[in-house]
Amino acid sequence: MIPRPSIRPLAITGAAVALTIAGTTAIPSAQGNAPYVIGAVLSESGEGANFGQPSADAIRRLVEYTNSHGGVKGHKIELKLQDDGGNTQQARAAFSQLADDKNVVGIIGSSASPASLAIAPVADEKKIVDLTLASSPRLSNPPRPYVFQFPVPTALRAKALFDEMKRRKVAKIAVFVSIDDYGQVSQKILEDGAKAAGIAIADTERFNPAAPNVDSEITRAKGAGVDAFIVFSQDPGSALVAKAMVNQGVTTPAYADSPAVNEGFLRAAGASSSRWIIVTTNIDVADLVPKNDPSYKPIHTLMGLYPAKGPKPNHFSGTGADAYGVLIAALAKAGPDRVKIRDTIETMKGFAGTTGTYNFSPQVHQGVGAEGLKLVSGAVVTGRGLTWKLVR
Amino acid sequence: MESFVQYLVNGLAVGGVYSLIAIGYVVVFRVVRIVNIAQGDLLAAATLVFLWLMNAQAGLPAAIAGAVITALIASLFVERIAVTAGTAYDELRAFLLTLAASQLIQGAMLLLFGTQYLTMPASSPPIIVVGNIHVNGIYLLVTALVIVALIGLVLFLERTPVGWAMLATADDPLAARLCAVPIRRMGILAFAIAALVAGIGGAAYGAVAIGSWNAGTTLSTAGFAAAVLGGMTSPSRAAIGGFILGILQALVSGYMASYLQDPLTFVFLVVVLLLPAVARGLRRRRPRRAAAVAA
Repeated sequence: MIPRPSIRPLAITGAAVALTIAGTTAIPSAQGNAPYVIGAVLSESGEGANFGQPSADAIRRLVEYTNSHGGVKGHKIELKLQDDGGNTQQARAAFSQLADDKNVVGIIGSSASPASLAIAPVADEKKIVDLTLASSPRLSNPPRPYVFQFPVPTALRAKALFDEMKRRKVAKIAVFVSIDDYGQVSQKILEDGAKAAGIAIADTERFNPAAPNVDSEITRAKGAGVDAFIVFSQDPGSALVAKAMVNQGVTTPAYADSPAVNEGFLRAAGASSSRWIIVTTNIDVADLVPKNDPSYKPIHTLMGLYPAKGPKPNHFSGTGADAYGVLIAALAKAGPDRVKIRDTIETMKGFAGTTGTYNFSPQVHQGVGAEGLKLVSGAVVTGRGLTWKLVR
Repeated sequence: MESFVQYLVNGLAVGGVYSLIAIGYVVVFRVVRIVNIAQGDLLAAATLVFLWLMNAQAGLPAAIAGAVITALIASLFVERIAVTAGTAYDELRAFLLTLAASQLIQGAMLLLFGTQYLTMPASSPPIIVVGNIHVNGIYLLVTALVIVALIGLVLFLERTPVGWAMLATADDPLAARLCAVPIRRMGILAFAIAALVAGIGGAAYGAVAIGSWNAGTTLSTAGFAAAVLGGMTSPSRAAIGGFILGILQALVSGYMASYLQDPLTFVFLVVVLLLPAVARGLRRRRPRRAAAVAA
């Protein structure tokens, strides 16, 4: 068992401010006012459950938190959360249903890109904000009037890794991407990124992250004689690659996208995790975030909502929390008017979230940049076993 | 050549796990005539419990026992809803009920373990290096385990009275019942045996792969393909089918492309299944054509 870094349960005082920014005046008694209804369409089961479940969990905890702290301007928050099962049709139907409910002021979702791409046109048509947690660049480039995007773009995460490769004089790499929308979009982004960084791709492996192992893919990539591997895959793709590398005695350094940051990966990779460099956001390395970082407070407020023992929030929880925070902040400022909420989000600047600081504008609907990104590596620390170490 | 041997080794352990799933399919199918599509989910559930116990430092024997007990509970649950609630004689309905059971087991695993995947506690596996070929010692152990489980099963079926009763039920339920064989209990026993192999398979899979709540679907399909390759009747042939499939997938990943692994596996399966029919068809058609020409 890998000992978890202990996270001191923080006093939750003043946390409402951190999550809903200044402007929210909490009135102690919220009983008299009709609740503000917010919608969410997330993949709590099915293909996107790995993303959807942590986000949904975080949003539920935050709604409870907001309500126990007086709600928004004296109105309790009511959450209507629908599971789309990772299915695009279901996501679209659930979104339309929520949008047709006149009480719903804005909708968070969906978790994965295919479902979010199915939702986006409906949001514009029905004129209700959609705060998407998926990272496909097609969701906000060009910006759609009612769609706002929360994860750090894949291209920026890839760039952070390529920059590190350049510092380490990597010239030739093998690319591992999963055979799903995220993997396929990433493949193109990695090809462009490598080209821009002057790094040659000698081998590309498109693999199924649900496969029992990827030993043969590693056997082949090993033959290509590369300086590094790079993995952009859904869970547990990176863990599969790490295991296969250990099995075949491959000591080539490896780089990976954020899904790799979890305990399962550390266990699968063991001591070899020190050869991995993974790009992630602050929340996954919460105890390495300095107190003066804008994301410190939102991260630790969110963490305080989870039991001391048991699963902790991860970057998917964080993205969900940020979307919720932005929606609540807009609601506090604009009131329950769909169009005013949209306009408020579009001009929102300096919202401190768990992932970084969000700035929106009419041209930019993808609110957060690379400043909240961290590069981490596995490390064996005496007394704590395997844990994460900050690389940059 | 070196890579070829390496690919063979790579496919060994997973092939062994497919074999155990395939054996489960065959035992249940022969006795109660139901394709239990939840067989892979039994194994996936056992894998999760095994890994959870290993990570809680419960020790290997307790973890294996936990895996077997989990598979047993899940398997008897499938038996109850597929055979008892659906009628044993309506095979299509029973098949659909096993499909529902598969979803229920996956849902239960999602509730119990969440979306986090589990692996063995961090430790270096014993790697045997021969020239340029790397062999994970655990892969060899898993292969040996499958062979031992298979020999045990064959001995049980062919050398014990209970085994004979099971085979009799499989061959002719009516005649078996006339000979006072409790055929209902034989059905339950078949599910229990399927659970035992799934439990052992779960521990083996946990040792070489990654446990997750939804791993069952892939495993069920692969195990079913292996069972069909073996003709759906003989546990030993199903086991061979499993190894062939595991190694074939490793070769496809190695020589062609990883993403072709699943589709090509099924193309191969279709070819194997169609070959006898095509051959028979050709044989039958020729004389007819000759007759037509003569007329």
